[in-house]
Amino acid sequence: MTTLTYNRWSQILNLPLALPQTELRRGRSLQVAAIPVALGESVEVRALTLHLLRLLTPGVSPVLNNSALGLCSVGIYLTDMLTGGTALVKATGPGAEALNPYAPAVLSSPGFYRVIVANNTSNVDLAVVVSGVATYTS
Amino acid sequence: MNQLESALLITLRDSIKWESAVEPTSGTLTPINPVMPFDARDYHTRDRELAFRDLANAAAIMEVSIEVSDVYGYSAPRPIMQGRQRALQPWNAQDARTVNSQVLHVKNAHVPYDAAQYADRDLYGRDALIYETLARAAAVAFVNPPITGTATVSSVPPVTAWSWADGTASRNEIATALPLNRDLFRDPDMNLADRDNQMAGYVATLAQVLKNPFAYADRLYVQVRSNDPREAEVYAFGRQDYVAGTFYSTGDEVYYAAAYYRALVATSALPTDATAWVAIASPTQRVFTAEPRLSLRNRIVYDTVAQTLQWFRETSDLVHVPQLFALSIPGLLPRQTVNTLARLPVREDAQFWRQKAERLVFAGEERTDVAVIPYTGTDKVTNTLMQETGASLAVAGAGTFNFDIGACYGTYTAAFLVKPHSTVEILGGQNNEAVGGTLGGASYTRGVGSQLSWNIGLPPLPWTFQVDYTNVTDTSTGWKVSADLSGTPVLSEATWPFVDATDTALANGQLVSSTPVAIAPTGGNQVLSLQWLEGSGTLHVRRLRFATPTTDDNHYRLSGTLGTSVAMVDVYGGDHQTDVVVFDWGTVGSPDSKVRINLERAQLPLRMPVAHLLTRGTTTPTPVAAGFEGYRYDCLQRASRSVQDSFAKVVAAYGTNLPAFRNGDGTWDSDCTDEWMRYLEVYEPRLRETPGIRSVGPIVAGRQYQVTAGTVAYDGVYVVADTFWGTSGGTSFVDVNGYGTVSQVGAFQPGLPGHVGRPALVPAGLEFSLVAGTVTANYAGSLAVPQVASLQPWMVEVGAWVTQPEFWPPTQT
Repeated sequence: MTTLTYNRWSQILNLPLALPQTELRRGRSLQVAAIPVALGESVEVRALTLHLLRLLTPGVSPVLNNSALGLCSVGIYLTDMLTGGTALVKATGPGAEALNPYAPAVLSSPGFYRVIVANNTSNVDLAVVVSGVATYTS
Repeated sequence: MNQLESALLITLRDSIKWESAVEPTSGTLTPINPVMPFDARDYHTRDRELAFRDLANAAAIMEVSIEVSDVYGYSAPRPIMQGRQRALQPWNAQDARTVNSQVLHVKNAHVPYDAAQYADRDLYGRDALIYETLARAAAVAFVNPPITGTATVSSVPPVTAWSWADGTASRNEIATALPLNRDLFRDPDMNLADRDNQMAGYVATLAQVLKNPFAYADRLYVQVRSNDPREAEVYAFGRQDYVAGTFYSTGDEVYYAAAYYRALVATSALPTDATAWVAIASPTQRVFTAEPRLSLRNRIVYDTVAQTLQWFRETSDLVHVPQLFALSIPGLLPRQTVNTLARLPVREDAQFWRQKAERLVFAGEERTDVAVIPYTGTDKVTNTLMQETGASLAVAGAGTFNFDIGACYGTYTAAFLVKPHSTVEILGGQNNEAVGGTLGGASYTRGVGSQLSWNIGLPPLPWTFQVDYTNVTDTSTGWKVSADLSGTPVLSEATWPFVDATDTALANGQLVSSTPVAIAPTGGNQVLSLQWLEGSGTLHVRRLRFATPTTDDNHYRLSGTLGTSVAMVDVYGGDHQTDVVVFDWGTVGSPDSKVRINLERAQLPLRMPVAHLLTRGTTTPTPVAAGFEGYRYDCLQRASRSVQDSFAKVVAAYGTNLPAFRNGDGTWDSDCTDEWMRYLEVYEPRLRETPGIRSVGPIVAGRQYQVTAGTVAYDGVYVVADTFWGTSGGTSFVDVNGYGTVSQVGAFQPGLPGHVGRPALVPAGLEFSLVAGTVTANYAGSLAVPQVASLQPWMVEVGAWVTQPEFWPPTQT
């Protein structure tokens, strides 16, 4: 069993990824957080939860902009395309979806990574909450 | 070996005294010549030399005992020695009478020479018998026996009657000052016989362990072969504590509240429930468990009463019939064998941890590779703007990617590596006249006045056009050319010089770029024609280059069709930025595997160099594996550590000869990755999985191969799922039935667009430039330490390798 020493503990920095309940309009996306990774640093994201609270446009059958992204999704991106996220959590209906903490995303290449939540429909507004933690491990 | 059990009657002492032992100076016992005058010192020396042989036996016992402890974790008995000794027993036939366990001691009627002629030679033979018996037992029991037999002792029978030689521990020696009588010779010989009895006792005890290690071992090293194979791994002996909620089978034994219990029926009740359990004095089962220690699985049970072995793998859908104990027993499935390896565990590499990770499957979605077009610049892709980097979509319209695997029925995903790009580069060889040339260009040999033309379709943006050209035959100082775009003049009798600053013709093959000229594409498919008006030599058009200013509004809308199923992509992309677009279809029923990508909206042309087709499904989870969710990731960490250790060895071995790996300008591309991986493979040979190897090979020495189809012959005959190692003796195998195929075994596979987010092996310090779209290596050489990070789209472009799917848990809970 390993022991986390105070010396090691002091080198670990947790960066919160949090978006309180927000109305996410159809086809729009929001940047939840930014994760800068410098040369020599490594960031691990084990916790990333997308909570689709409810659909704010009742009586409409959602039309998806991207077939692969559900009603809404949250991901970690270095580039712009929503389908190319290094970590991706999508919701196909109301409820909470989470990144598998046993399959963490590890970012060790320098860059400015963004956490983006996106409404993937063209006709439904959504109420979403995002939470998570990015941990600098070195 | 069986007959040694009688020696167990002897009480073993914990040490063997050195006494006056001395090594024979000539390799043989000091000879006695009966015709010469009697000299007690020669007899004394012979006894001392025989005592020395006992020490050699003790050393041999020590070696085997240590090996038993190392291999099985069992503290086998071993005599304490009082000095260094070699575990080697010389053999000289003239010093032995017969090789058996009898020792004929002298009596009052004997003459002194009889002590040498009979007793000493019997003692010599008995030493040889003890040593040889131990050596033969070790040879049978161990892969790498610690001692070797004396091959010349051919007279040692495989089974001998083993009697207790008449021995008594007494520190008597022959001396000239003592009376010349029977005891002068007999007492020292009886002491030597006693020492032999002690060594025989130790050998007998060791033989018991070697005969049945399962009754003694604290650790087994077990490999499952052939059907559903498993790599050799350690099974550790341990007490089986009762676990609440576990459903025990009849006969299972557990430890609970300071007592052992045996299940009378299949039950999950507490052991204190007398209707389900009975208390027992001690367990009759010795249970060895491998990780992950799932409840009642991944274990081997040795029944000490029935002397049987039973293997439980990670699933309990099939029950292994207990087998009489042996180092190799039949397994659960046809051809499967469970082999206990009598050797030390080897270093566990990334591939080992891959197959360990495979033991546990968790519920969730899984994606399986079906097909890939690793370079789309082939005839598998049609109706696209074919650039030097592969297919691209530039204007509204549909391109077809034929994965060429036949019908598709199921749930499919296609992932494409894409790169919006403000530059379009078309190889000269893509012309409509089918004129070819070196390096993909077109060597324009038809003569003055002929023309070449290319189909292009560019978005209606302000573009510039230029050509990379050269001369390839004779000598030329330049050409006069004209060009038009679907009838609209682009170049009018323009001069393309091929001279240096002194107006001297350049060397053939040296590329020159023409001056960019503005063009205005209409947004549809158009034809660019190039007319050669004047000039000598052979005009070689290497590539056409079109460029447009970068724009931020790169909105792409695409639809993907497989069969009749349609999936949509609506994304924004940055100029030069490598990314991935994903098309998820529901249930597909398609008679072919042609994916039609329709570009509905675009700004900059979209390069699509790699296409990847996958199926989606749900996993069949391993039952009752709660609490082990992190196991696959743990295995991944161990695999990563193994690769890093291998890299450290490479650095130590190559020193300053280690290449930088990165290019001279600091960039990193797929060639850099390949070189870097080749160095990693030096000490991690099972690194890269290479499928589809046919009989022509190459089979590389030190690499492992697994048969994936048919039957092959290499250093043996192998069928599907069998593995073999490449040797220096053969670089190819024999294809027995015409479709024999093998894969080089490895823990990593090429990273593809559908793998984005999965763990990949990349050197430290790689950085992607969002502006230039290039990858820079901040570290070189020994600093390019391998590390596992999530695969990003740009890593696919530089040929990064991802871990095999066995390491992947479902990404989303």
